[in-house]
Amino acid sequence: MYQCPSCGGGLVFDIPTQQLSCEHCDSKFDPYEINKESDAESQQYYDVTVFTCPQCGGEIISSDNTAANFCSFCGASTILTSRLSKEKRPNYIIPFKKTKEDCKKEYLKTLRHAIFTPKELKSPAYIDEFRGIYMPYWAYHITHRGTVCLDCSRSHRQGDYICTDHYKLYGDLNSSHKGISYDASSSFDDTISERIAPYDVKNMNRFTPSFLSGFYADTNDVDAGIYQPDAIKIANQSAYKYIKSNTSLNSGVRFDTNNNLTDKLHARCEHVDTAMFPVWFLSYRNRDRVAYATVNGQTGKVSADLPVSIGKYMIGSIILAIPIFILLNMLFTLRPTITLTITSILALLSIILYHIELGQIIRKDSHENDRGLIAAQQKKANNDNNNNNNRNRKKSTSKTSVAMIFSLLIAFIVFNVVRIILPVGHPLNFNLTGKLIFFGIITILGLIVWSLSIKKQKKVTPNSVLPGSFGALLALFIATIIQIINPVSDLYFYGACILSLITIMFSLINLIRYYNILATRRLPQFDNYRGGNDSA
Amino acid sequence: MIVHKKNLYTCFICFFICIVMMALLYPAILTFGTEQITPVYTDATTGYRVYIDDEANLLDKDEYAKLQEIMQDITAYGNVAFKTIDTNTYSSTESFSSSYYTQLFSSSSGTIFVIDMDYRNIWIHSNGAIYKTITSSYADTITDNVYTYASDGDYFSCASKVFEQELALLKGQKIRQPMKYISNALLAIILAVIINYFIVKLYSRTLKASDNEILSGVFANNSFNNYQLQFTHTTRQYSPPSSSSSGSSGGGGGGSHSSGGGGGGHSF
Repeated sequence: MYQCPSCGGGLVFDIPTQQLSCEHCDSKFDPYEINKESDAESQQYYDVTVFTCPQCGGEIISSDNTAANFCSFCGASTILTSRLSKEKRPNYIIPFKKTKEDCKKEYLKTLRHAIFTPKELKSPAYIDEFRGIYMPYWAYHITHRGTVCLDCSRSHRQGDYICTDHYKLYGDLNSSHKGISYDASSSFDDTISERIAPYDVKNMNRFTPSFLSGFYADTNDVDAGIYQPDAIKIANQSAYKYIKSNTSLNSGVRFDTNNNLTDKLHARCEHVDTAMFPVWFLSYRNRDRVAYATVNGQTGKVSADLPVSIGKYMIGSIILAIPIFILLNMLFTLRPTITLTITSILALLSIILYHIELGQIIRKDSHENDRGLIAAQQKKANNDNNNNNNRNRKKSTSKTSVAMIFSLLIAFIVFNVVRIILPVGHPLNFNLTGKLIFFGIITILGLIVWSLSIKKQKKVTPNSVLPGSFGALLALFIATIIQIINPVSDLYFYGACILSLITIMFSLINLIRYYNILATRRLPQFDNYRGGNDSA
Repeated sequence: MIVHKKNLYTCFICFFICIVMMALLYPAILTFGTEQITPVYTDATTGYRVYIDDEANLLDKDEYAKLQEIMQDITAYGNVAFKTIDTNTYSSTESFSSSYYTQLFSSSSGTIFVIDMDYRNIWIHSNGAIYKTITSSYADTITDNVYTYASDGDYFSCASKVFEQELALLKGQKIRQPMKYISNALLAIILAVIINYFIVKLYSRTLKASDNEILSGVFANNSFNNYQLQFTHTTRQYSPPSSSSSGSSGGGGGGSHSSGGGGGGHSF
């Protein structure tokens, strides 16, 4: 804790004035003027208190030693254990520009559209838990220097031939992109950092630990090499775009597709700086899932996981159903067969949506888009399980598509063979009109998609036996049977419709429940810090 | 030359006479080969007629008289007919009904109700001013309401209910459609749940920053100097100019003859 030179009170970084402010006498100080250490070691390291969550094992650091009683990563309300340590000084820091009040306003603005979110996410007491955390970032400096040679061409017609004149464009390129940034913490999901980006590194300051006063910071545990190709790629595109837009070529000459820009433009990573970027961080824990809300501390850009309240969702749906009901009655008189057809399509749609959602949950929980975490895990475990998982997933997706197309083909052939071989009037030779073929195909499609969901369901919730879209599958079967029997009485159709719609409703409720899993994240102890004590 | 001109003139006169004859005989041609049906009642004020042709013998005398009484009220709005058949040479009850309507009423306002014992189907077909009220949707609704009588063999009740409900609609009254409301209500709820799901998914999407946005926040300096373009070689690819044909494509085929109107029905 930095002390006020005037009264000895605690100093914290004051966002509006961008200075250190004394909590007691309100004196203001330039952050660079307050220096606790002046020896040679302090040029490289600075003293911090490391707080460790006993539940998830997550670590955050602070220049203060005041006890922290809340873990931002797993959302646990617990006293974090603390120890003194020395951390390597980052090169730069972007101080917080948005105050906590600004952050709350931006967050609530985002929540205005999220009408189904649980009320807890909007409660003032909960929002007040926003915690200012400096996240470690790698800031890459990419240069392109040297004589470049790019392919260009011009085409013109000569009789029956198209003649293409090929050219080489030579020139001296001198390009520099400094500050292309990627987050360097495995605890900070890449998908979040991509959403709250960009940071304006032109406003970066030289790092001094006093900026951290009153805030927390995360530690750097992802290798700089992970994002270097991405930084080079962005710089390449920028330099190439500059060349294309600032070079006057002869009339009709165009740039060809130039691949391998890294070599052609002589891209080079000069150095990588470490930097601290400000993030307002809020976590909402619900059983074994956690939802994060993050706000860019410089620009106010928000990224929030928004689960829905099932109660609110159903009330909202009933309200929306009223105008739909009126419209249906005004515009259409749906015959029972048509209603049953629509019901079947809705059942198939809910089975497909459920299947897609399960896939999304699996991908999210495996963090396949979070290269920082994967790299950190690989570093720890020194294995390539994740790569295998990716490969397996791609294989399984292509297998699924082939299986679906193949099954549809088989179904189509079987229907037509039955129709041709069996004599007219045979009990098994139903009147296979286009409608019945349609129903047969969508039922088989529904069955295939549902069967594929079984495996995914086990991955998401190992305890459940059947996918939650079972109701919709049942509805499909009921509808198809009724369509094949084609009873004279409409009551059978209406009965099937009502039964189908009720079972579809159960499937849709399951869909919403799983949306909540998708909208939240697995607790970090299951990914980062295996062995953390969840019951602590 | 004079002879040729005279022949041409004669041909034109003959052609004109043929056209006039065909126009005059058109109604007779349409009804050719069918029994001449006489109306059982003609409204003195409106001139609209009632036809009952119980070819399948589904009604007894009393029922016939009662049905005629019910049907007479409809003549305030248009022609009305009831037809039962044992054998249907058409592909469907709908086709028969449409054709039969044209035979009886041509394109004037009216409604007919057909009980087709061959296809075990009932059908309402309407046209003209009546069709504006007894739309295909209402025809479906009415047949949905009465098909059970036909299934039970109570053809009089079936027909009388049809005309009673048609009359109610023509008078501006409502007819009951309970199942329609129940299934529409459930359908509306399911649709609302699915629509809300897509809304939630839409609003939960947060787009990641684009490359341009990222680059706007970094220190970027670019210069490209002393550039020169050097010709290297020429390649040739055989690609003859396409000989695309000009002119517009032919017009679409003509529409099939339709007597207009429409209706709805139900099997029984």
